[in-house]
Amino acid sequence: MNSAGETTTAVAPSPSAAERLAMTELQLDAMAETFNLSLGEAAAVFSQLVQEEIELSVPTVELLPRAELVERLEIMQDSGSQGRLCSITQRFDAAGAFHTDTMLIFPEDDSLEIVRRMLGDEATAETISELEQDALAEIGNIIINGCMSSISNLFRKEIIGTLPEVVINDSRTLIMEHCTADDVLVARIGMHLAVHNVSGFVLFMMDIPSIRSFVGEIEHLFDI
Amino acid sequence: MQTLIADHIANAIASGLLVLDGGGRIQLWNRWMVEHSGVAADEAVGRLLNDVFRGRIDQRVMMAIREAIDFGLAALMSHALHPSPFPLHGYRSAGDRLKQSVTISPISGQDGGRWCLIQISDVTALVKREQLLRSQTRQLSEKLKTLTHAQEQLRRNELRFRELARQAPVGIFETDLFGRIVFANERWQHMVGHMWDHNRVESWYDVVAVEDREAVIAQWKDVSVAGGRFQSEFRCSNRNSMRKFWVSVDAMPVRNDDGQTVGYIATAIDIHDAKETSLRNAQQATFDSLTGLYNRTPFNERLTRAVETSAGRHSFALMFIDLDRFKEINDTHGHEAGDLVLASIARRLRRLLRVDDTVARFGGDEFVLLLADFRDERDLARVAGKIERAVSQPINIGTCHVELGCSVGCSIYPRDGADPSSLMRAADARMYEVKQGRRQVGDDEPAELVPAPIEHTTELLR
Repeated sequence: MNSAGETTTAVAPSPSAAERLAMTELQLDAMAETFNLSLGEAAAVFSQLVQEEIELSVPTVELLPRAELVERLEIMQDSGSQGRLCSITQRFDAAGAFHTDTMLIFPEDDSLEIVRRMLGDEATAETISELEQDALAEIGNIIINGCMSSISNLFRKEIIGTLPEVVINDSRTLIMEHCTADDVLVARIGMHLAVHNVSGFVLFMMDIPSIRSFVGEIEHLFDI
Repeated sequence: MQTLIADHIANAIASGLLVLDGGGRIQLWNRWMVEHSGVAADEAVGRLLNDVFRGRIDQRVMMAIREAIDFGLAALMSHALHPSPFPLHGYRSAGDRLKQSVTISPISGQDGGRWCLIQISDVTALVKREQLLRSQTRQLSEKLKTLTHAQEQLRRNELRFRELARQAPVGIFETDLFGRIVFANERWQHMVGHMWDHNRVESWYDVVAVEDREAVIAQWKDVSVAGGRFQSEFRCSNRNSMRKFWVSVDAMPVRNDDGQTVGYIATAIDIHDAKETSLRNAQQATFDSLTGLYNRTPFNERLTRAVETSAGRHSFALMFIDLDRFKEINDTHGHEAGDLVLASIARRLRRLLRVDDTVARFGGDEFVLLLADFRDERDLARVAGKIERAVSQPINIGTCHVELGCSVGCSIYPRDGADPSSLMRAADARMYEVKQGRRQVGDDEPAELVPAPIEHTTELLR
């Protein structure tokens, strides 16, 4: 959050975010399972919506410093021809426990591909139209809501969400403008549509108190 | 008071606002909803959505409402995936359903529980706009495809042309209207020993040999101004080897779609060997190879022309010269010596003549002169005298000097004949008479064969 902290992260081999948060292997596994369950729910809803088999890969869960996340996303960004990323963000608040900005991120080209496949449209224009952006917001909304309602069920906690917001930008701007937390909980999922492999990220951006609270919920859930 | 303002705002807003309480009963139904559903607010408030719309609502909307109320999740229903979730129509119109974009958010209710706010936006105009844009984009992309295809064809044609031009066994070049080289194939560049540089302005006729250039440029300018076809044979010089060679160039105008000539495409064939042979043949047909004098045929042509142009009004003379004792020199000193003598006599005759006069060798040791213009017979006698003196000078044949004489016979047009053959016969006959006369006197000495000019002339012409 402060610049001195960031400098330390970048220069010295510092302990990993998980270590700093004193997260155990067991806790991380439990987190992965939580997201696996919740994202699986999301995939089912999405698949039903588009009436097409959509395969979601098993998510990998990591706690990453913000700067490292930017680097990771830059790699994904390079594979897209436009070099930009499309994010769909919703803010969630589990009263008294944690709050998170949940972001679903695709390379811009992939996001266009998804939405146009769903709308049965040829990819004619290079930029996304207003209605297409709306459709993309809904897709993100379904996935994110599916995931969050599943988490809400698991934790038996009410999590209030906002409407989705679509932003298309380069990874650095995207993350730096949306994320104030030093450490980010990153769940990566791959989405495989029938003819097109799309790789996306689901990011849960939380501050340290929120992560602690989130981990607490998971410990409670898995009884660890 | 606050509720009053909120109601005013809700009614003034240009989209549908609906509030459902925890039990799914309608608590707010703004004016936009009234106008687009045809259901008055007091008819709607307190009832379930499904009852008001008689079940004609997208089920996904109902699910999102439940999620908002039960779990606090907000949802967006885009037009693309749910074009018209509510049975709403344009204001006072029963036409097609409005195209909608719907958001459903959880809100805190007046009873402390969780309620739900539904916002409906009319995106009909937006959809129309985007459809138009999409169809325009599609049309543009079709056009682009056609254009790309055409360009590809053009590129292929161009490649094909270049390859044809490269492999062609003839020189090919293209010029603009002013004769400036636009393209030249390898063969042509090789022929003229010059590589064209695209950055330099050069005319195709720069490679024409100096002796032909002026005529070629004049012809080119005449033809290209009129947009006609250019055909010509001329010499070019190779800039590397400096060799001059004959080419036949055929240039056809290139016209644009409006039929205007924009340039020329020319083929150039190396005709050097054929041209040289034909020139040599023409030379041989015209000139006697030994002496360089005219042959019989061109002389006869000149004689005929002289008869025609004189038409009885002007006089001209024909002179037959037969060498005396030539056979003897041939027999004694050999043919080569004979040839040297003939060449030498020819040289001397040529020097004696005026530009208008013509001299020819009629084979063997017989020479013929056409004297275009003469004042009187004295003139003729003077010429005959000069000839006899010139012939009688000793001739160096390499090993020794030989001397010989000649007999000269004359005929005059139109006095001795009105046509070439009678003139020839007359001159031949006189020459024979002279020779005979000389033999009868038995005078063999060359020096004594030269009579006084006047006397001789009388003898010649008699």
